[in-house]
Amino acid sequence: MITPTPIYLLAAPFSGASVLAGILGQHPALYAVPELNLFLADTVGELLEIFALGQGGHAHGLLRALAEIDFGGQTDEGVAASQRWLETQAAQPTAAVLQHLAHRVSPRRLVVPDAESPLRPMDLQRLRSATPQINTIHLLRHPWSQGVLLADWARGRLFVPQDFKDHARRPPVLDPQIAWLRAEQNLDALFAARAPLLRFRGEQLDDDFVAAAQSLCAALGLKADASALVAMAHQAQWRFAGHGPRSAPYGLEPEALETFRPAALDLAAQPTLTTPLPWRDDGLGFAPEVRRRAEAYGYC
Amino acid sequence: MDADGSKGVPLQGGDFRLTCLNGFGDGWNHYAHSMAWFRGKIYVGTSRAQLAALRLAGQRKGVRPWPIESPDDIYDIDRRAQIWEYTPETDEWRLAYRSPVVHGNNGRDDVPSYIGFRGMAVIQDTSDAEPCLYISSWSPHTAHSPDVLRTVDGVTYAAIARPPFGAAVRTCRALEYFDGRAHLSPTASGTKKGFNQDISSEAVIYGCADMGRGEWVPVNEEGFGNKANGTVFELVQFNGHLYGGTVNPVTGTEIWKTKGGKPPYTWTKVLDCGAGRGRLNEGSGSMCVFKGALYVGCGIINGGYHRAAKIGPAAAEMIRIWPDDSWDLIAGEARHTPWGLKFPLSGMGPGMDSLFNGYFWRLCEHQGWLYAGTFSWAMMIPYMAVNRWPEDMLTLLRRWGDQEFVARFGGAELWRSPDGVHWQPVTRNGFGNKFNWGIRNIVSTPHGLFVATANPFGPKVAVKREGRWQYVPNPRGGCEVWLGSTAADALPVQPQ
Repeated sequence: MITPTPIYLLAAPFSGASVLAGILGQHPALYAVPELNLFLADTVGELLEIFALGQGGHAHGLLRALAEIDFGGQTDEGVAASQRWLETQAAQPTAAVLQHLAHRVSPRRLVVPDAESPLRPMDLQRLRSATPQINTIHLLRHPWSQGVLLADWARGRLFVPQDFKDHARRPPVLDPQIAWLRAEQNLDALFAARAPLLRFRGEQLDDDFVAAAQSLCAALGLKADASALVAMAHQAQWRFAGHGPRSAPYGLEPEALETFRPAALDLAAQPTLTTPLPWRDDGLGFAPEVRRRAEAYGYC
Repeated sequence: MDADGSKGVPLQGGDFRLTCLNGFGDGWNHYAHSMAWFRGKIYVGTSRAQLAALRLAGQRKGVRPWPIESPDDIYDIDRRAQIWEYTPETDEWRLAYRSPVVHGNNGRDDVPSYIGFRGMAVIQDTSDAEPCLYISSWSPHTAHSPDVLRTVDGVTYAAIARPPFGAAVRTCRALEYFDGRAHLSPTASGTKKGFNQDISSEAVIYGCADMGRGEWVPVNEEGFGNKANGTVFELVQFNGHLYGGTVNPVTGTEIWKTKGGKPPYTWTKVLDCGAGRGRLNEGSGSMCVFKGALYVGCGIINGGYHRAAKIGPAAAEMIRIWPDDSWDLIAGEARHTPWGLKFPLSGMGPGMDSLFNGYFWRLCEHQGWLYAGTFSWAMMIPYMAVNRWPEDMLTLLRRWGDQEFVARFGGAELWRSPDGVHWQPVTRNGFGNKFNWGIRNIVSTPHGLFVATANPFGPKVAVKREGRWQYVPNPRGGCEVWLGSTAADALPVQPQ
């Protein structure tokens, strides 16, 4: 049996990658997992070292996926078994883990959301090298909506990644447009070598879910019959929806795990490229580079 | 050739072998401070006993115990700087030169003329029948002004005429031949009141059309007309221009360029204000031309923490400048700047995501790959009062303990890239020696890539045994020189 090539959903942070994974993961021909963060390193051993250094949940998505697929489910015991298995694979390339997961869920096609690699060209290069025939979906969100949601999540947090800040100010201030531009520029460089299967604006799902789901299915060569579309509309039933067990609770982007204030959701739904940014206190708007790129994606 | 234009095999950590250790057998050879490929051999100029001098200068308050055993009288150490020569074919090192001593202004007869050799360049000047090796020196304030030495054959060394340095100038660093002139700039100052190894008493570039006959003249206005530019720290030629990067503790480094001509040259400012990072990019410490752009390592002097000016600590950034003066941030902090929104193209923050990397100390192209070596102060952690550090750092320290911490993170880093955007580490722990706190020199040769370190943790280093500090001989203290080569480099090299 031939293992279907995985599909990577690549997006800037807070652009809906985890949410879209939940939608696609409900299609009977697909199997979506949380964010794996495999391509932070070349080998599993290096990856485990990076996971150990980090104080966040970078390992959680991979541990949850392995637990669910190989070790009896997303429990603390399954997570511990997944960790032990990874340690036995230390000398293996990280790409081998991706192949393993793709094989295990076959004949369903593996879907992996990824809003971290787009921030780092080296990670994208590893992804491309590991799976030269990789199929990708470039998921977009208006930088205004992305910024409003990220800012709402960051509100009151003690730790916000440096990647989301403008360091021209001391202390640095939150400015999500920087990560948006960085990710989109890196992705366009990646796609210059091999175009994505689809460039998909996440807002299409809000405008007309069925039509958007049909276009996704068409791009992926999937049936879009009524039962599949109904399943896709119930992403809350995705096996990875919500938090994982205590030892690996995360693995999804915050927007798939937490709730936003209604006011933030309202503001995010009124995108613009021309007004001062609500998360800044200095009246600054989008940088010209951000505006140009957003307009090229069809946003205004 | 790869799609990205790199033609050679990238070097991995395992491709490097140690050609010498322990400061050529003398742990007081702390820094391999200069290095050049000349007449089929590698030459290394050392600087001696820096860490002992720093203790006596009182510049590192709060460090306890002092990391190395060092006497109360600096003259108890032989500080005569040395030049070593390596022959690849025989794998042998030879002491080629040792500084003489002079009668000092302190009345002693054993004052070294040179305590360090901080720069080297192979130049064929007007009076030179063939390319010669020129070496810039570091002289103590009790001796004379620093010299530039010249050797034709690697055996005999002689000082050439000095530029008209002010009395406080103690060393120069960069030596760059451009548009028919050699150029250098003072980069340290010192008097009996103290010294600063990275800021000179004058921000002047001197040029000389014939070093055999003297006549050094200033080629720029002092500080390029800005009093805050304390020093012109690095020089390099790129795209038909001479570029100079300053140390500016007030507003951040400035980079200037000139087409040359008749001195004083006309200079154009390329960037200022530390490329929009301000004082955290206080200086431009390393420069290298690579695939059509000028790569610049920016950061804070004195290892990433300029205590006297209250700048830092902060890790270093790398930028690249294009011929049209536009520039990219390669590794560093994303920010809005007068030049537009900048984010790190490599995806990596300052110091390649390590707070400890205070400098990108050297950049070098080798077989189509750019190599970047850092200075890391991680090895100082066991000797520092860390109780006031940020909580996330303390969490890491508590998790492992300081000895385990430096075993993992101690030592300088060497990175490589085929395009300036995609970077991978060659070593992140000083080639397995935590005492190698800096990659001080990198030189590409037909035999491979030579990498020389700064390692001031000799001859005796403080270690904690059974809860007590004691000084013990350190067999891996003192500078080291590594040679990285692949099977392709091992092919016979035609004699020059």
